[in-house]
Amino acid sequence: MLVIGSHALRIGLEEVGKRLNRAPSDLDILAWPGEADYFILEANLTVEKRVGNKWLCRAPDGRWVEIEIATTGSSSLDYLRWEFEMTVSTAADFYGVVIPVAPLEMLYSLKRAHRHSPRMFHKHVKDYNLLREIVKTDALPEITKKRYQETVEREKLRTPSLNKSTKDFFDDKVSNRTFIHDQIHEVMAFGDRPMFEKIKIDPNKVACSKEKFFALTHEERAHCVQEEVYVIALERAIIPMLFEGEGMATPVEAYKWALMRICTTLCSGWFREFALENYEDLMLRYNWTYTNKFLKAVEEGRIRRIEK
Amino acid sequence: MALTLTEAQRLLLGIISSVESGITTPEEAVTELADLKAKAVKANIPTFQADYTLENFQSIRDAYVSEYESSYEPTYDTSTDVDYDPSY
Repeated sequence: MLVIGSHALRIGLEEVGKRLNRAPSDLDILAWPGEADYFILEANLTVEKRVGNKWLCRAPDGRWVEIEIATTGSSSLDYLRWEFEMTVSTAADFYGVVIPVAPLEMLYSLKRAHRHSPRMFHKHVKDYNLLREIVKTDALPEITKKRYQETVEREKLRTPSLNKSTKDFFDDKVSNRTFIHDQIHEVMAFGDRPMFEKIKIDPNKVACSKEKFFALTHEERAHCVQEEVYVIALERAIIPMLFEGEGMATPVEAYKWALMRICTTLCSGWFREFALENYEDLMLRYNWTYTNKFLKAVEEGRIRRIEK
Repeated sequence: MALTLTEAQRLLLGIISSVESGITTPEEAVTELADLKAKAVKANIPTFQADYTLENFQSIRDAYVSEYESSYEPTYDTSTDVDYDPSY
């Protein structure tokens, strides 16, 4: 049995002289089936729900305890084996039962395996980058890979193909119907021209060049991602609200949501990885005047509405 | 100078952001929005769309409080714990 999640992270961080920026809420456990029964009995937990190999229990203090049962061939089984064979874990008392606590190396692997999931993204990305700075490299790459696949299948994570023409790529149900995507890029550009033009492989395709991207300075790379974030925030939240009578959105939340989408299911590969690993920097770079920059372009006729 | 569509949109964004950060209450925002819509009608801007209710403003404020202010609670308060998501 192993404690994972925020409780394990808090304990692990304290061991290296750091502290978690929040109070852990629910308790997450990896366990063999027999161990789970033992823990439920000893800790006086009430099983509220069983979803697949996850058991959701209520502790005597009212908090949730989520127990993931290790099944044959699963990553959870591999994590338990790795911990048993390779390391000596710290142990801590939870509801009267002393349980080994997953080390930071394992927590990094777990976070890495679902770093592209939109589920509670903003919390996980901060944990992921904090662990990445401490742990540096993944000590369990094969288990991480397996768990990553489990996450992709469970959450049905898919990213759109970039190997399409610009027209086909944006011919979807979510992009705004008022302005053309590339024109929004033009008016939101940091310089004279949009940053993505510097990294495109083919002017008529959406796909970009990794080599060209990493040949840019860090500042330019950040601008490249940020430009995309502003455009997505405008196109999918602010413009639908202001010009199409859609739901209410706030500029900062739209930006945050768009950055989350780039880090998860809208982009893939090296662009997504850069955005993910520089998440905090990209949040700090947020400029609240971006909506005004766009509206000024509308006023000055630098961007025109799609004729219907 | 007469109100323009983009100016009305700027003012709407200002009202929403003020509610989000707690500068104005959702109730005050409803009044401000009604005034803005009246001005838009007077300025003959039929394309200005902003049919938002008190609940819309309240949810913007609630989301902000839940995410930002509660994360700095010094106590081990579980009132902001997330609901269990069975899809996980």
